[in-house]
Amino acid sequence: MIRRALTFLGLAAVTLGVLVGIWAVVSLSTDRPVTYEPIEEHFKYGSIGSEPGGSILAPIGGVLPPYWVFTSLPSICSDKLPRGYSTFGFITEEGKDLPIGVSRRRRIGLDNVGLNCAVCHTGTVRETPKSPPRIVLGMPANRLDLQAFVQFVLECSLDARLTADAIKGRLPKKGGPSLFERALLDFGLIERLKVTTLNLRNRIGPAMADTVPKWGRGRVDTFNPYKSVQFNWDLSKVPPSELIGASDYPSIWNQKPRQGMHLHWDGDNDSVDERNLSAALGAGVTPVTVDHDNLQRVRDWIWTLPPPKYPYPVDQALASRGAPIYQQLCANCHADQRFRDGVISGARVGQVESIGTIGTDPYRLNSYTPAFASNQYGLYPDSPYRFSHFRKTNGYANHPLDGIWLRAPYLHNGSVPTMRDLLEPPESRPKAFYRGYDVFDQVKLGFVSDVAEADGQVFTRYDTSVRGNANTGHIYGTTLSDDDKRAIVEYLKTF
Amino acid sequence: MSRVGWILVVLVLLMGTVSLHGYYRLHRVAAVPQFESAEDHFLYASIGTEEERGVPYWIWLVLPRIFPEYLPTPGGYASIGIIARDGHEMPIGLSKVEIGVPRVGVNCALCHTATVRATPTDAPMVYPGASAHQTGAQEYVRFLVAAASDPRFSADTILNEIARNVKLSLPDQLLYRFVLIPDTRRALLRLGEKPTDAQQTAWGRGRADLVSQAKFTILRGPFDGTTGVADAMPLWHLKNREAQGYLWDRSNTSLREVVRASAVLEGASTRWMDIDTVMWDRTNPRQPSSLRRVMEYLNDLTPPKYPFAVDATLAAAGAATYAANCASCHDANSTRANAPIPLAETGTDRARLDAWFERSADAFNAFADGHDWKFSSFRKTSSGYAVPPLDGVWLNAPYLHNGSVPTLSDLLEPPANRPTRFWRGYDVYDQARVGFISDGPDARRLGTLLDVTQPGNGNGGHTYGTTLSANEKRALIEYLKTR
Repeated sequence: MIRRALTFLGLAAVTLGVLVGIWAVVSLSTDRPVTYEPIEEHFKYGSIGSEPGGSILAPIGGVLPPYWVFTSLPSICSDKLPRGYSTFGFITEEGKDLPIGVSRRRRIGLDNVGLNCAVCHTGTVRETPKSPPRIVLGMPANRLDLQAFVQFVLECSLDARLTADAIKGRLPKKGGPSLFERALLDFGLIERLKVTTLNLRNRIGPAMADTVPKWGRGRVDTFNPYKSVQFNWDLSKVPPSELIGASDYPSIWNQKPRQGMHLHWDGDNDSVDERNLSAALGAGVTPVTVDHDNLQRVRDWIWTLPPPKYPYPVDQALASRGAPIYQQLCANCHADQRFRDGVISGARVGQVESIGTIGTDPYRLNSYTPAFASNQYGLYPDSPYRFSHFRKTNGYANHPLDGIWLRAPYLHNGSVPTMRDLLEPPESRPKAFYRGYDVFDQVKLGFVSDVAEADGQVFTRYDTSVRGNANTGHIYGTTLSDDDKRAIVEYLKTF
Repeated sequence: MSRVGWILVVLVLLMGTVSLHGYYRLHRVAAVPQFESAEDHFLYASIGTEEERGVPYWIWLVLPRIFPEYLPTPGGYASIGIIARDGHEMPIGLSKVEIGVPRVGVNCALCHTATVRATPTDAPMVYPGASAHQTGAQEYVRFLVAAASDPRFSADTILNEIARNVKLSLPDQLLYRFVLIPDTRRALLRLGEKPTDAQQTAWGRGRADLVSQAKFTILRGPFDGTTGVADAMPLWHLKNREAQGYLWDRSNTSLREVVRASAVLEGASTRWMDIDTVMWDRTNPRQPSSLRRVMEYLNDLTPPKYPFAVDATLAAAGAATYAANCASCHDANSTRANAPIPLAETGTDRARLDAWFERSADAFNAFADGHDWKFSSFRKTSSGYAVPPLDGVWLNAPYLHNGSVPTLSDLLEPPANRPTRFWRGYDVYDQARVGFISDGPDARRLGTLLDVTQPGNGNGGHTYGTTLSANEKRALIEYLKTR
């Protein structure tokens, strides 16, 4: 009798063990993104695989903590973030639990979040301070202060107030984390997170230090975090001349006619697909956690995504007076208005102008080195995606100007607030201005740049005397008459 | 069949599968990738060094990311001048072939391809066959050994880093964990066992001590207190140098032997040498002899032209100075071209010449006895160093056989006025002094120090032209740019 009971108990224990095992394996091996059928929703909220993956014991990739932690950080560290993530210029839509650019995916047993393309390539524009912001997909994230956001996430993740209990106290009654995830919370998830966060913070620390000028709103240093995150270079040993690289987010519409052109500000790559995969690394994917299918959906969409038309009145007579001046002075390098339809007019379109010729700020160029290119060729190894198109250049590339009205401020480092300012000689361009406000200046073509603060948002004061921020160079058109300059600006509204 | 029988059958099948997998992953030599152009073959092809001294590719890939502190500056292998170009996966001078798993070895281009930049922000120009003044061949080995000596060279650390790059199959993960990582560690630690290293002058960038490699690493002879460090030689016009003899001390006149010996010194395995020798005289286009292809490429290689501006008038004026002061030794058709200039006359550092003995030559000649590639022409010379033709001399900096003088301008100064400490390896060109920039913050940060007081580093001798007037020197240097 006792023997039988023991046998039964033993069997029950074994069965339970097996079931728990299966449960753990299924939970840990599930890799399921939240999916969106409409492509615009996919672009805004879909996962490109930038959430941490690999295994729960040694997660790889990703820059953000798990969903339940991520959504709790603003209230845990509310002193650092009074208005939630929108403080950093994130765009939130009604009825969404995450801002645009943040995706959700179940991986390694957790509901994880990651960044996607939209975080840096979606912005807003308004006609007046009173009008509602219009969200434009594919335009530079003119409001986003990515650096401040990353620093907040790192700091708050390491804050003593972030504990498992603090998270559990903030979970909703319904629709909270799975039982498995709750179990992980009880068994050291937060401690593990702090270790991963410390590691990431230490790696990118020197590029984020106060000795390096801040990126500010609408800009990112593409390659310095990359040097440490992908290759574990000790950034404290990278010379200052290579450690400053903040530059504007580009627009990502109308990619098809760009294939084969020198992409990135310094023209270091001529493959759209490879450039996309490289940008995805910046969002937190790794060659093994990237979601190629989901990324391909975005790629196919931006391939033909049309640049948004200028929505305000255009003085057609003035514009058509500007057209021939533009043809004469600008078209050879920047193509003309027909580029939106794929017409590449101009021999130097998409080519690199040497730094000596163009004369713009050299820091972004010098942040990309031959040694770095050499290391990039080992990325996405043993796959059809392995990087092979990167090249060190010695200048900046001529980019086509489709949808240029939404791409202010101008020059690669965003050092000139409006198109009209760009047509002034460097010494007459604004020496300091504000970035991040989305109200449009229809006269000068660009965003309003003399407002320091509005709607609770504090904008970035951009000082052109700071290293990497110079507004020199690109003096084309600066000697024209005021009328001709106005005509060119008007013509550019039709791009 | 009985139950035991079935169990046995299953066990045998299981063991068979495991050993088959093991065999495939450890020994199977896959078809070697062939490169269409002879230049690519020179830059990337295997010369047989992967089997014995190679490192499994995935380990090789992640080591700089795990142990960046053992490299001089941020930059991975590029920080010691080993750089990839034009999107090629492997850096110049490193080969990747599958022997079970993909493995990385070194080839001739590691020490014989130069990079040059006009300004610090330029992309480098690449010159195959030139002396690799920027490459730290010894630093490369020392990096691998330092990594292997670190307790973090463990299966956990390495597999975690590999997992960030590729998803290895479970059997491969086990193989790496239990066989390849420990084996690689052991092999690398053995490379570091050489007792001579610490007692000899460090190679620094662009130099090697092949004499010591031969005597102590290959022949396993006892340390004899010598140092044979010297510049990597430029490899053009090799066809024309047979009479004088190859290597700085002219110790062999057979190019075929020198190419083969160089491969052996780089770590080519005996088995591979046997196969390559069989292929030498076969004209199978699908698997030609790799070394023969290298040799034929070098036979026809011509020195690259000076890529910067030359003052033609000044150069023309320098031609006469050259004819009067340099041509008798350095011109290919001159009287003394193929005879060694006695060391007593040139007065340059003796160490390299004195490090090679009659008995070294005999031992090396006997090294491959019984193989079709056996050596027979190594000899001991005692008169003096080879006199290289000055074609492409702009790219041979630093100068003299031991690279102890940074620029041509310095070489035309009396030894007492030449720099005693300078930095080698920075590849930005100094068009005024003709050579590479060898001091200043960037040269110091990116290069290695050459101290002329160290054994083998002496910068004395070769005083020809040092008494010319400043104008004559300027003209002569301008003329040499045209060579």
